[in-house]
Amino acid sequence: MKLFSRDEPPKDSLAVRTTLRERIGNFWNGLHLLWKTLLIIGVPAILAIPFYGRAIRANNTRNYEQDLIAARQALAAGRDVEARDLSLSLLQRVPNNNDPLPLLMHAAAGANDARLLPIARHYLQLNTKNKPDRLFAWKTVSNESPMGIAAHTWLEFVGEDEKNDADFLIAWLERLQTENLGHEIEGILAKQAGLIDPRLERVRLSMLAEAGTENSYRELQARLFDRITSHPDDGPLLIDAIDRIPQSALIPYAFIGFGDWLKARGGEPSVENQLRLARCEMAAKPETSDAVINRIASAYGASAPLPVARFYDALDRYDKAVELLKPLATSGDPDAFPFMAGILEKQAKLEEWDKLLATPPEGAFLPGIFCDRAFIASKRGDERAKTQFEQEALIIAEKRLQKDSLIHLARHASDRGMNEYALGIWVKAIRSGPSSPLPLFNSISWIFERLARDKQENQLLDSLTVYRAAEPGNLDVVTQHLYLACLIGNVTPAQILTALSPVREKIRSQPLDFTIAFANLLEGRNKLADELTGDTSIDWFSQIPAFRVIRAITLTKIGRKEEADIYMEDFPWDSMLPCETRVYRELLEPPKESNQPENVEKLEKSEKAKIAEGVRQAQKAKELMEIRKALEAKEGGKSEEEKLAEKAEKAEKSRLAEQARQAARAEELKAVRERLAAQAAKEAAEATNTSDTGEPDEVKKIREAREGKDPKDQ
Amino acid sequence: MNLRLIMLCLVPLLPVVAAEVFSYHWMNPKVTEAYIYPTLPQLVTDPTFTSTPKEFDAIRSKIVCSEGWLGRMGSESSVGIQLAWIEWNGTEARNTLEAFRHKPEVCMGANGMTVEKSFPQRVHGSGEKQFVFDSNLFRPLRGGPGIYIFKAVWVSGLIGANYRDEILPGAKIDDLRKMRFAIIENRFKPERTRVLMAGVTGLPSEELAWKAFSREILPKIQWTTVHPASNR
Repeated sequence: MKLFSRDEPPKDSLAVRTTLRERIGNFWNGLHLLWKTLLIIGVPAILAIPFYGRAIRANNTRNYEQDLIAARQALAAGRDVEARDLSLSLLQRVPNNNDPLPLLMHAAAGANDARLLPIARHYLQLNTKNKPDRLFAWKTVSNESPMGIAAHTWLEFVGEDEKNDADFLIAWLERLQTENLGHEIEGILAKQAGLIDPRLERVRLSMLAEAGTENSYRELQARLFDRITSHPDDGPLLIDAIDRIPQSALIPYAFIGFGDWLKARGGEPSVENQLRLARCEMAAKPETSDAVINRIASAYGASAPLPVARFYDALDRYDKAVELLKPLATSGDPDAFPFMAGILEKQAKLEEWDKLLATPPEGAFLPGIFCDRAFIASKRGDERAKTQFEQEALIIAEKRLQKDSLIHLARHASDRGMNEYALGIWVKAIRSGPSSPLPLFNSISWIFERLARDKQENQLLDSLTVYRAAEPGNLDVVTQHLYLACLIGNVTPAQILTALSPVREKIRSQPLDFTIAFANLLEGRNKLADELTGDTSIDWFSQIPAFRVIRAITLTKIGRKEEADIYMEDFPWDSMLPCETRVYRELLEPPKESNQPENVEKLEKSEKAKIAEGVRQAQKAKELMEIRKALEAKEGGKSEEEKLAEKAEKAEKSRLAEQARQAARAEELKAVRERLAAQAAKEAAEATNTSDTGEPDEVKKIREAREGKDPKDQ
Repeated sequence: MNLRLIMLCLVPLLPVVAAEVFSYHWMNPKVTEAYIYPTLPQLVTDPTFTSTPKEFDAIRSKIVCSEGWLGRMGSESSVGIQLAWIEWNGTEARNTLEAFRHKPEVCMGANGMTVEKSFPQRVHGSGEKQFVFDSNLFRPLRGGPGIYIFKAVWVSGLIGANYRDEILPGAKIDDLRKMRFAIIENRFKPERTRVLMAGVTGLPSEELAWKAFSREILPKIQWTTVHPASNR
């Protein structure tokens, strides 16, 4: 095909002068249709290539911005699920851009998403400078995560400047208060130099009120009046600390101090402050008490019954307080209800208390109320009602209307002293996973001990598994979890060694040593186990039985069976978990004697080995003496004569046992030889076609082994 | 009829008949020596033993076996052992190959388990009474307690049979062509085939699991000697 069809150029170029335009026109006209098409499509396409990327990027950015705005709008409009999905898709689109992360966090919080905690922790880890979002994240972690995770986040992810920021500190102190970690709070407050934030001061005052001693009340008042005198504006936040001071502990100066503050603030004091002032007045001038009470009753009794009831409560006039509260509490006042319940509890008026609890106001913590009713029923000896209310409380708490309702109920039951009931709830709370505000392992370690005592090994393992996630840095939890998981078969001994051996190089503790020794025993490294358990300073009989049995197994494995038997004397198998009993019994089980060709060799020890054995026996005897001494030291109550007699008896016994053992060994050797000879004779005459069931022909194997045959070679 | 015609018709058949007769005799050699085979009765004397005949019926049709049983023994505080004993009697080579095809990972994999660790094979007994156990630690895919599986295949006349090595010299189960030649070459027609599979739970090491299994179960295997005169 001819693609070019250009005319011949004129021979005389001077004769026909063509312009550039004409030449281009001629060129174009001369082009074949195919080239024309390709040029029309191709040239603009090639020219546009550099712009494509930019255009696509611009389009993406526009979409991204639009979606970000849409997500923000959705969040503002309260469409949390939509905002969450949009922000998550934005994060997926541009993985390195964390701008939508706070949006996702807020949306997840609104949508009650279980992923909120990891999102908040991740956001704190990013070290951004946006305080409101970081504060929100920290409050979330502090309030809702297990205490171990919260403490780790505080130490690792919260910035140094934030640790001194009152907003961050308050959230942390509140959590510490919930966990009853008073000394931690004191430590943090002691670090705060100069004039501290009034909210922190409030925490300090509440700590002093909680201490409840004469000195603490005095210090509380000194601090309070000092602060509100120098900074009257902090007063409204702090002044209610007076309500927590019993009337008898109010100092006379309080009247002046409080009065001065009211003056400094100027204006008419509120009813609450009038009542507080009245209490201070009564403390300063006890003789005016009756007049003051009458004055208050006539002035505010009708108009402000709740504050006046609190006033009566502070003066221990409970009947009057109840009289005022009754109409309020029965009409469903959310403040009057718990207050009146508290007073009735103080007065031990069980019937009235129960009657009040039967009509709780809206928004009250129902599991707690049912728990209280169960408590009342048990006080009244009504077991049926007790069980019914306990069940009711648990059913409501398990619906988890609030994330921490189970924990809240467990704490409530613990506070009431209903330990059996609390145990079950704690276990449920723990087993529901590490995304709730679980307390520190140490503060509820009694639950784990109790589960172990009750032999609930599966519940124990589940709880330890959750705590391993909730407190990854707690070596106790890690050790206990690995130990139990290995016994049950969830973890291999090799995994224990991988996890704990590096730690053991830095930290020495008996549980750690014995867990590693246990794993080494299972892996067949008996010498290592011996090194780990060979600490002579251990008082074996006061330690947990598992230590004793691990030591005994180690001694058995390295051939010191007699010593092992001492450790296992009167061993409390009943106190062990089923899995412990199973595994340790199996480990203590001697290897099968028959069937093993090498047993013959074992019996026929060479002279050299016998000498070595003698040396070892002497060493063993020495160690035995030490152990026996330790044992005897424990039996302090026995007389010297008795001890000597026992010692002599034991020595005699061991001598006889040794003689018997040696005789038995010689007998055994003889018997095996005789059986070999008998078997050889029997085989020669033996007829076939018999059904030989049961006993394996061990003698044949022993002979084969002695002749040096490998059974496989047959 | 014409005899010649008949002869002409028969002559081409003769090599075929001869080959058939020869192959039959080749693959069914005369048994002259006494031989033994194992049986594992159900552990009815153990109070913790439970037999699960329904489960066995479910697998019976799939593996085309003659006899067998499934069961478990043990309580919470003792070692738990799940057992499977399967017998093929008067077998053909192909049934025996079926036994070899069900390697532990195949059986357990079908139950949602995965091999976590493989251990060296465990040998029990010697000579013809030898069982070579494949030893593996299996764990559910979603985690949880592990199970130590010991599985052995016993084939009459095949000492040291196991799941990993060649069944016959130069022939593995996955190379059927070589396997067929090896079967012919070795005149391989085992009389009886057995599979013993045990899953030990509740123990943390293979050593302990094997100790418990070899103490509790293996001594209960019974051996029967058959004299050629009483054969079939």
